[in-house]
Amino acid sequence: MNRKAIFFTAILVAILVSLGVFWTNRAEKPILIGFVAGLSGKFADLGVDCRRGVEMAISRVNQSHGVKGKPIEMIAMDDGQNEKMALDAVKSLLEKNVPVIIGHATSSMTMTTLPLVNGSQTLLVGPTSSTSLLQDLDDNFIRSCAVSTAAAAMLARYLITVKGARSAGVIYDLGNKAYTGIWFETFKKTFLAEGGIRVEPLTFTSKPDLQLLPLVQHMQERQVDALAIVANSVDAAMLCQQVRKSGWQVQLALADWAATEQLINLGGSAVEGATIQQFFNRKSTKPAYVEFKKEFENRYKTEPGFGALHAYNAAMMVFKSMNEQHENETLKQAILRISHFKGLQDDIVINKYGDSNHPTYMGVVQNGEFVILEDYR
Amino acid sequence: MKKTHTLRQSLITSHILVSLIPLCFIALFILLFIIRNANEDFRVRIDLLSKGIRGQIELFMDQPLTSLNTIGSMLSDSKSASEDNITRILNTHIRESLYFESIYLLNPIGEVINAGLPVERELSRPDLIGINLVHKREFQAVRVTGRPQWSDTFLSLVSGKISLTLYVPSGKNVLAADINLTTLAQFIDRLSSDTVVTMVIDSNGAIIFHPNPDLVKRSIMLNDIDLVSAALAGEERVGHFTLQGKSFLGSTSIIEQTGWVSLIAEPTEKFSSFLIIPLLIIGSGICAAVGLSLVLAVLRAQKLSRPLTEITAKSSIIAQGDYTNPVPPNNFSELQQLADSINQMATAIQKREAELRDKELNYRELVENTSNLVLRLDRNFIISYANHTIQRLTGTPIANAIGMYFRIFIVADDWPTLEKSIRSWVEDRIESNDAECRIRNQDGETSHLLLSFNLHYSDEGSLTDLNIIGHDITVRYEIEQQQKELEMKRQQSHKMELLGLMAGGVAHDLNNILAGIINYPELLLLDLDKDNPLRRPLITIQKSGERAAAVVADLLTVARGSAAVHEPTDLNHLVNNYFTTPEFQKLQDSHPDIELTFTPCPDIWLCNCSPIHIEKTIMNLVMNAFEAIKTQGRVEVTTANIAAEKLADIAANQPPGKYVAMTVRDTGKGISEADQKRIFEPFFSKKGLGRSGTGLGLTVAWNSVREHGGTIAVNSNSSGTQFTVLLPALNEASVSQKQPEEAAHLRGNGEHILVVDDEESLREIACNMLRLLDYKTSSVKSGEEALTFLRNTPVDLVLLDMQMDPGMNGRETYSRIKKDNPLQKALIATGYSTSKDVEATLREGAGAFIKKPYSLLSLGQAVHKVLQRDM
Repeated sequence: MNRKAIFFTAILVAILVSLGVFWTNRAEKPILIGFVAGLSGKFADLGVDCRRGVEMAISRVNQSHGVKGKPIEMIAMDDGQNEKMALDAVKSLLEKNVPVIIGHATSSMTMTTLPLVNGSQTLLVGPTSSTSLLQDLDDNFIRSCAVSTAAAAMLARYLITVKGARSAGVIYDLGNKAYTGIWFETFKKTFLAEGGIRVEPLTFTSKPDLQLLPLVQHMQERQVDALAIVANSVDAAMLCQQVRKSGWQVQLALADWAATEQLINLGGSAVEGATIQQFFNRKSTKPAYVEFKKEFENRYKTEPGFGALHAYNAAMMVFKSMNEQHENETLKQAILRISHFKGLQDDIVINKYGDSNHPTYMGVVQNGEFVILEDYR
Repeated sequence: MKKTHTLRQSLITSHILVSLIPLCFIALFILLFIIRNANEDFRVRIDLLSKGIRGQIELFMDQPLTSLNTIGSMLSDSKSASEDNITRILNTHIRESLYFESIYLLNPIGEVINAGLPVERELSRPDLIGINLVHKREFQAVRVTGRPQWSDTFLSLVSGKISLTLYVPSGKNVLAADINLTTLAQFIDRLSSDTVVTMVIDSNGAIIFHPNPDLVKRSIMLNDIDLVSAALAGEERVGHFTLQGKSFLGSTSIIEQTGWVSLIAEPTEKFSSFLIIPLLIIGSGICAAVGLSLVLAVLRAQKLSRPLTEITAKSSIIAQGDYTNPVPPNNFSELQQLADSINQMATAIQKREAELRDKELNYRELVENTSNLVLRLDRNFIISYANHTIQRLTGTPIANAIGMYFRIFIVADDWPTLEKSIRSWVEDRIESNDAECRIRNQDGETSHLLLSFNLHYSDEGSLTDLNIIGHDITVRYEIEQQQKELEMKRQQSHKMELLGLMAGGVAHDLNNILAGIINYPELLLLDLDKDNPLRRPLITIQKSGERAAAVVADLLTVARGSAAVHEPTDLNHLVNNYFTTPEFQKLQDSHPDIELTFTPCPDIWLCNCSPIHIEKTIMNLVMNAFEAIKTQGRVEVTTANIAAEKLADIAANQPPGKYVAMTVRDTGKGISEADQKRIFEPFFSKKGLGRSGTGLGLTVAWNSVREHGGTIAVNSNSSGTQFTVLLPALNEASVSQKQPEEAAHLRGNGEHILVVDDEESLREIACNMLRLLDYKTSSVKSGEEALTFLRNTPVDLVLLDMQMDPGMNGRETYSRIKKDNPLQKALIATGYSTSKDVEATLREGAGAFIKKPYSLLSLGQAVHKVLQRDM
């Protein structure tokens, strides 16, 4: 072989090696997914919690070579629990042609943007939107949490059977009416059906300059045996504070929406003894959850809430379905075809309308912690 | 083709490399030094900046603390102040201070007992008053320690911004103020620039201040960055980190009041920009050096390459064979040496060329003029070189032969063997070998060649070409063939001799036996009437005995040296005699479609021969000619005189002299070449079993003729066969044929004949036959008895058997008799004796000899002949 041939062979080998290195180390174009939730204001604790859950899922799936070899990247948007902000955020995500948006954290925001999502090829996957108004609909919405009616019915039965309440007052936030309205109706129906005599409703719309004391005083005048609060954690904590400073010894009952760390942080002793529904078992010893919780605390220096858990489950459901998605199959079709997914605590089973079911726990605030009432499931 | 470079290019490249490489190394070391120092400066600068900003933040954080402590002291000192006054004081501070969002006054059990609120939140006052914050960790710490406490940062539910709460003691109560960090954020934002990023991280690792508000809003966690996690653990560091895909060099400082971490970072790319100027300076210096080197190199290369170009031109002239134009002298000693070397080389080449020319001429003449064939073949056996011998051997000019396949010249039958040999040599990597083959010229004539091959192989072992030297061995080959034929004939002769010995061995005894079978019927027939019924069986017995005797005679003829009576004979007469015999008549009757012609030579010379044997030869040849023709044809018999000068045309090997010839030619299918060599062998016959005799016919003919010093030449082809019998001629005139004598004319007159024979029956027969011929007979059984008898009783004739056992044989007995009586007449009788014994006895004086078994007539003739002879 002459020197010229050796030279060109060396050049060719160098080019091939470079191409090989480039090919091996090339950055795969990432798959963009959307996230939207309330990341500011009174609703931020749940929204941030959800976002962290999705971040955990992305981190894990990217460590496992992503989806079909491509990394996942998230575009997070704040809906501010505000209709306009929510619509703008979703529009922005749809313009980026994301295949899926994980969010919102509340049912009302989901109800607001779903028509927009239904007009697109994008799938909306709700981690915590539990309103029954979206139940049994063949739309672009799939959720990894159960509908709230079951929780409301359970709480009503608990107050009747365990606490002996025959009358109940319900204060609920119309700012998330899609959730709270159905919750109240279900509660009332069940309470009365189980032997309750009357149910007194009182509504408000959460805002910064809201006065909560008059609501409590008003309800106190109605002399109910139990007071159910269906609000976010901040409003719920403040309402409990008003109840306690008023000296009203009423059985407090809180909807699962309020079950975040913020409730205890703000409520303090005022929420001690309050009955509260839980979307998950904080004391679960299931290995997947224990590992997840440990990693979450290392990363965020705080305990994961139900938002993080359900958002993580929702994200992992999406990624698994993307990985196993057939050609000419939509993401929704893939999720519905697979239908059974492993959750951190319980399996998620998606029905043909994209609704799922999972256990709801009855709990109580005890010594500044949420405690599950194991004998009432 | 390998690419070449000019010396000028090489010199220029070398000059540039020589100047550039050290320069590059120096530049590299300088660059490394600059990078190291710049990096160190960069780190020191960023660390100093970080510490300075930390001081600014701490200074800022001291201000709300001081203010709140002042309020606390104020409230603590004015214990009698009403709630409204307290509210007013607190509101005043809220509404006039930049630092506070709200201030709560908590009683010792954690209940909010008063609050300073901004105007827009005044409506919330009823809700806030009375709530219990005893569970707050910072409240309890203030109560226990009496020292201010900073809470963790949190997202304010009121403002939606990052906030934190400062707790300070106020007498028994506690003041809790939500700090408005907007001012701090603005302050930190101002500390950042396009190149310097200032950020603050809370004790959990989340960004709480950053020029990009989106990062703050998203509560980005940085505790997975080593630099941050180390700072959160209490260790301030300077180091590299990556945020949002961008590389930074950062320095951390811990803010004492809150445990926050200030992180001052500069993009790494900025550091790179510091190096641009030194790089530009170094790069410019290198470029200038390269340019200067290039100019110097070009000048130097031109000076060096010019004489080299001149030497090259002169070398080209020398290469073209012009040695008269030497390379001129040069100023550079090395180039001068080169010029001298080239000139010496030119002289040496000139001398060597002359030598080579002479050698080449010699070799060429040697190869071209050799009588041997010289060939060179390529691997496909195509001729690439041939000397002039190719034309001599094949008739093909050299120019035509080159390019032709070698096999074209080889006799077709020889090529497969030759090719197979060559292939096997190639397989065994044999480099030289010999082979014989025939080569054919354009007229079809062949030459025998001994070919010496030299085979040449490539490095891979495959055949590349062959050199062949061919020696013409045609003459040698023919001599060898002749020698082979002679050897074959010698073997044949030896074989015949052995056969003769065998035949001779039995002939004597057989003839003795046959004598009884032939002679007794003959004697009996003389005594029987013509009508006697016993005559016919006796005649049959006699004829059978005669046929048996004929066979024995043939055998004896085959055995050379058999005694025969030679006499001057006319060959025409013998041929005619044969045509009158009953045997010929029978032959002609059995082949009616065959025409026989006889053309005798009118003045044929006599030959000295045994008529009986030559007659038998004629009979055998004619019989063979008839039998060679299957159905229809012609047999021609001719006789001729052959002069000495014409002998070579017929039989080259015959001794010179005159010969008489008899030719028998038939029109049969001919005899194959192979069979021609064997037709004279005993018992060789192509005839079917039972068609003819013993297979001795031609053998007898051949031996008879050879006995006479003649030969038989055979010439056969597909149109017929010709046998030519040559017999030495006599110079005597032709004699007239003797008429056979009747037995009656041969009768004696009572002469006394002594019969000497060891066989009693033969003695008896001989005596009986002689008595019938009117002779007086006596008989003895041995030579010794005969001598004794003759000493006492003289006889007229002795009939002496040649072979007697035991005792003396006939020849010895006759010698002894001759000593006693030199005039004693004798007749030799023999069943088988060599012609030497018979001839020796005849020379001693014996009158004649007679072959046993003899007939009455032949005995009578012989006795009559000897008695008539004078001694």
